Amino acid sequence: PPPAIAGPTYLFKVASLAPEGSVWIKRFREFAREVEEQSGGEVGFKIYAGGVMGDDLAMYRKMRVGQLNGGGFTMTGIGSVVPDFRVLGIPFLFRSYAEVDQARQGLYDHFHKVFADNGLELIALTEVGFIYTMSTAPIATVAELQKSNCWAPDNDPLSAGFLETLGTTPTPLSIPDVLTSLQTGLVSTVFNSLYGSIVLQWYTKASFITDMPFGYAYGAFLLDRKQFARLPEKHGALIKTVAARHFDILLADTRKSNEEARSVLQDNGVTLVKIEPGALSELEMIRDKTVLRFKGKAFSQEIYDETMRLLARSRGH
Amino acid sequence: MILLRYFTLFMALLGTPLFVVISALALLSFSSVGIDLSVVIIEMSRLADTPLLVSLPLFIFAGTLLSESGTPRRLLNLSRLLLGWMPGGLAVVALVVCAVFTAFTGASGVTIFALGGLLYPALLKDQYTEKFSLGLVTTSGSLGLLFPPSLPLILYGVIAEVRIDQLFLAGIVPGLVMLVLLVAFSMHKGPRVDRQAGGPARGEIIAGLREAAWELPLPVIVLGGIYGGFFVAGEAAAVTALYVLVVEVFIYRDIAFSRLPAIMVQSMMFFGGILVILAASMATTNFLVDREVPMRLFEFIRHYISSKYTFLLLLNVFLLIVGCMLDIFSALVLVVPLIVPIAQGYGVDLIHLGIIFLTNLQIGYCTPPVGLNLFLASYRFEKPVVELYAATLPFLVLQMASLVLITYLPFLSLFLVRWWG
Amino acid sequence: MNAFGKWLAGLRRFGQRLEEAFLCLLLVSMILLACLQIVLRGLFGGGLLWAEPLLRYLVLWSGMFGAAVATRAGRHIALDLVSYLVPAGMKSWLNLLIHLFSSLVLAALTWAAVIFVRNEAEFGGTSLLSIPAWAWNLVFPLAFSLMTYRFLAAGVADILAIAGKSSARPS
Ligand code: NA
Ligand code: NA
Repeated sequence: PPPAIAGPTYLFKVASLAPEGSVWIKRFREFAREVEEQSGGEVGFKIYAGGVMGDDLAMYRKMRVGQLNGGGFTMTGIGSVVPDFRVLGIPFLFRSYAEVDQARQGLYDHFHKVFADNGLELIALTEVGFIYTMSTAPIATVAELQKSNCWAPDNDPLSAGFLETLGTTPTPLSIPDVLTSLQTGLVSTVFNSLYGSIVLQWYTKASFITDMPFGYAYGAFLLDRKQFARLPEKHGALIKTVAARHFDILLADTRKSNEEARSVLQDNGVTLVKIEPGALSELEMIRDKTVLRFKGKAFSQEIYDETMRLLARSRGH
Repeated sequence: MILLRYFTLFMALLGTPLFVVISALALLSFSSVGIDLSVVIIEMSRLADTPLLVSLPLFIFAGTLLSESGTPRRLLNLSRLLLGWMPGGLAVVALVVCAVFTAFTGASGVTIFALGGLLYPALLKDQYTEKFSLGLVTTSGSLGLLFPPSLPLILYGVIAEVRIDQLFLAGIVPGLVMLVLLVAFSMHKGPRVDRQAGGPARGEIIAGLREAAWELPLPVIVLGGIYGGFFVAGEAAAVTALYVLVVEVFIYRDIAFSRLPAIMVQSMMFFGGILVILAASMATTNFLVDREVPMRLFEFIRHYISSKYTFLLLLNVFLLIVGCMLDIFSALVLVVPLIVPIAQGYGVDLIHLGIIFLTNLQIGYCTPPVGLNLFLASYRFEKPVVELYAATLPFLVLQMASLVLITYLPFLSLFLVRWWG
Repeated sequence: MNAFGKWLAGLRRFGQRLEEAFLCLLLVSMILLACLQIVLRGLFGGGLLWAEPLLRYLVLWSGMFGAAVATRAGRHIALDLVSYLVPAGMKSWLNLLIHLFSSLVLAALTWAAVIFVRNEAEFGGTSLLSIPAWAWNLVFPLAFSLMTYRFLAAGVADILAIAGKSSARPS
């Protein structure tokens, strides 16, 4: 056994739902190693990957009582604590990653503030990627989406609300039940990132992917604000600068794995379905109706307006 | 603090409820490292995020109703008509009926009391030896744990977070392997007496079928419903519960309406007993995770054992010991969270692992000195436990043989799962 | 005093009936809600979004109160090896030790549950059906305090049994 060494002075116990060996955890370990090295071993991280500490809500509760000091959260999970953070998850908001990046940058300070109000220090934004409509039959029109048996993603009021506004009755299922239900026909249409549909094997059943992002999935790396404030200033700054570099690389990695997933999916007989002209504007109208229902409840008017302003700017209006 | 923990373990040996002991260990452990005690409840509250848990109380209720009704008698009657005329037929009947019944009622000893009481005298009357009959009835008490929708199968799925519909498929072939081995042995051991030539009259069979007509569709409802796309595994339990309720109370009228509340309370009490153990062990497991124990344990074991097959051999020995000391629910709840990450490290499929687990624990029911079935049978048939040790021995050997097959031939568990997709 | 004792016993019986009725209600709701989901899906191609999480809370509540009934009935899963070996005279002492130990542990669990619910009230927000998160989690302090009381009551019964036996014995 290795000789007993004194642990770091400032230890952050950090959990995430992302599995061990995934791009997120690999990059996080790199980040942690660099912080440890550059702080001369004074700042350290203990990483609990793969959801062993529970889902986002459990992780947040454990941060409140001090068992954990940080976590890689998903938007759907932490959205119930910090509703404004949900805003980028509105369906059919973004058409490209360039638009996403503009909004992420523009909203960062606002996000930082709302997390801080809840005792959380935002260190970096993370990404799962664009979410696509995946179905057992091609979906190219709004009518086809309306007719299909849609799955209602867990803890995501915006997506579920959108599907309801569309006029479908989505079927709520937990993630483990989705694959079987696709197989038996209980649901025919699900939503996931390209990479995620490979990891969960959903593409084997839902082999028609509509090539237009349904929504955007993302997350945040948060530390306990009190614990973070206790750090000497140089270490706090160190964490931020090292994080800025590594989480930029992570963003590129995530996008690369989604891009690779696209070709893997096509090699495995998945058909990318082009959306019919005119369908998008119809979907955006339904989205606007959904937003009217949720504005002021699922997120604030203020953050929504700011997001739309950023979006208009990136589209050159 | 360490002294208090030893005291707690001592209290466990004295017969303190296991959930109290496990909770005490969790509370002591967290407070010894200065973590807020409410973490114990935070872990317990995670049970509300476990979608698979829903099937547990509902299947328990359905099973309790079935065992309180005339189902055991009807099932036995029909099987005797269909199989009883073969050489060793009654023994085969006993094995098959017990397996089906246990799958639906869980292995809480119900089988030995509800069916064993009917089967044992019948076996003796048909001139099976007392030793053989006792061994057979005792062993049958836990047979069928591998068949859907057995409760331990579901509980494993809940704890290991694997798909229950896949576990349901995975258990079928290994369960049949074990059943076939035992059936072959029983036919061989059956009394060599001339039975009346041929089977029962056609009219008798039709009458028997008609009598059990409402109970026969049960397995079809569970599996057909899930694989036919009508509902998911959790909902299958609700459908089964409603179906059994209607059939036993309103159609067969075996159970008076006024008895329903008591049966409901009884099944929720049983479920509660399992749930609090599960809740408490989530807290202790979380402490171990917090201290990174599973990871270190794996590295330690990895240091000494490099082969997956050696690991599986040791796992079997370990589980057999656990199985004869703890009841199946506590054993699952305490051991699965520790073993799963290690087994994953060795590349063992978690579905296959589940089947190995349950086979072991099933055998543990009949393993001397403290297997639960041995005591239940000793109580029910008023025989000394030592006599049961001897009686179950040949059956135990056969079960061990099937354990070896199930462990080292993973495709037995996995090919139905893969074939289905 | 006797009338008061009778009244107390009546109150306890009433409480037990209430508890059992509550359990039956939970179980029946679970069955009906899950079956309703299947029917709705068959008819309208989808179900109620809140049914799934509600079902999970029903499971939690029925299990915790089921455990409270198991405590009253002395039907928890335990290693009951020693009870076969201990002479009958020792049995009450053994039970007393077990029940006192259990009530201590359950009191600690109740305390932890109260802290948990208080934290939820402060930070938890609302969850299912616009009911605050702390209310759904109220099951923990309720069920654990009920179990604490029942283990204590069992301990008192043990003491009475021991006292009864020793006073009956000629000294
Ligand atoms: Na993450
Ligand atoms: Na056992």
